[in-house]
Amino acid sequence: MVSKKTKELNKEAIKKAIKGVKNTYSPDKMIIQAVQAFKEEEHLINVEYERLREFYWRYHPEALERVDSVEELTGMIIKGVNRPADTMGYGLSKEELSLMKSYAEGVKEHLKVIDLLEKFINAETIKLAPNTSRIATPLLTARLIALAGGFKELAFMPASTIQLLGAEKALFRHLKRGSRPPKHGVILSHSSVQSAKNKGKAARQLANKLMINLRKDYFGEDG
Amino acid sequence: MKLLLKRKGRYYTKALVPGSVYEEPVITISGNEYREWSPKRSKLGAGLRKGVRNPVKDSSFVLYLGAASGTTVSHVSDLTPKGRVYAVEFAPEPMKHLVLLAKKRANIIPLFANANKPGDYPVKVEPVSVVFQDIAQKNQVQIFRKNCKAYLKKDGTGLITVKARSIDSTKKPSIVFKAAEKELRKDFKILKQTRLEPYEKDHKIYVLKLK
Repeated sequence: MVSKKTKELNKEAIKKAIKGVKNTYSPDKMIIQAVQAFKEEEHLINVEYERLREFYWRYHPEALERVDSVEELTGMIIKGVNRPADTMGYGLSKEELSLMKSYAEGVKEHLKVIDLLEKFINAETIKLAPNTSRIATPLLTARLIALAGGFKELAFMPASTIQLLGAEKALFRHLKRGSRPPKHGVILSHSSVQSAKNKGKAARQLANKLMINLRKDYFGEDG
Repeated sequence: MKLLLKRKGRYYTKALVPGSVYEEPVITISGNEYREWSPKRSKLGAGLRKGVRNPVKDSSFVLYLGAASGTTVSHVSDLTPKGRVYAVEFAPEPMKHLVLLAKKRANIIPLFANANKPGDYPVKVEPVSVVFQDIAQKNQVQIFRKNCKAYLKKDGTGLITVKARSIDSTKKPSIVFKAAEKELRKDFKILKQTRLEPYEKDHKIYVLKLK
């Protein structure tokens, strides 16, 4: 039913669209994916850590008093630790113990993945934005890129917008209903803002420096 | 065989290609598949529910701006088996969905281009009888006027969904709509206008004819 001319045009347009889409690659696309994945893995590992503690609490509660990291707990469960004779833990069956171990192995895989994600984000962001990464740490730079929707988008932003990336909810609450304006977004995680007495001032100053360095990174030093 | 069907308040389009596109329900009537047109996923679908009449005929040429992943485009493609749909989208990831859709539906012409520059489309666009736009940009009305000027036939129909929140998120929607109407009236007569509640918040659809 579709005419021959339309069919030909459809083929031609598809070819051009494929070419056009392929050409839009830039490294920040994968950095953004990695940042999102990192955030999700972080959350997932936290949830799984809590579950794993609950699991192990049934078996060997005494040991948990001294455990305060996922790495430690997964290592302990996978390796297996002797329990004291007077433990409050249940005498679990082979199946129950092996289930707990499998779960711990799953968590350990997530730890491996998040480690890879962090290394990837660090390396790629330093390559993409060396000056900004030096000031803001690569991870914060990557988070800003993700929030802005791309490196180019971030590099074109005024410092005041960079200062508030990640505080959109508070900003629009302010604009719409006149509540007090936010002073900082994800920039807050930077040590210079964290440790400052006047956090608003520190956030503004950091955002200004970031903006200058982002433009250096994006346009080139002599640009 | 009707291309657009209304049953129990729901709209259906006769599937140009069998099978569902975005997991919408499909019904079969005397051997023909009909795909349900979701008013929640598609603003044109919502418009129909609010009394907008389908402007697309079986051999219409349609220029669709802001095609995204092709949810609405798939229904427009159903409605014009002998015509074609020029589907413009500027974001690469949704464009990939659109290309996959166009591979199955030969009347879709996917254009990976910026609707701000109607002169720069990658293939030649012939005059169309319908322009439909759903773009969440600040200058959406301007984009629409430019494209209609370039491609809409004199007696053609223009449809635009105006998203008040992307023009100005701090002003009241009714004020934003008024300003948009004033700009639209420079080129168009407004035949019909309606808010898209409850399907979309702070959206309005306009049906227009060139002056």
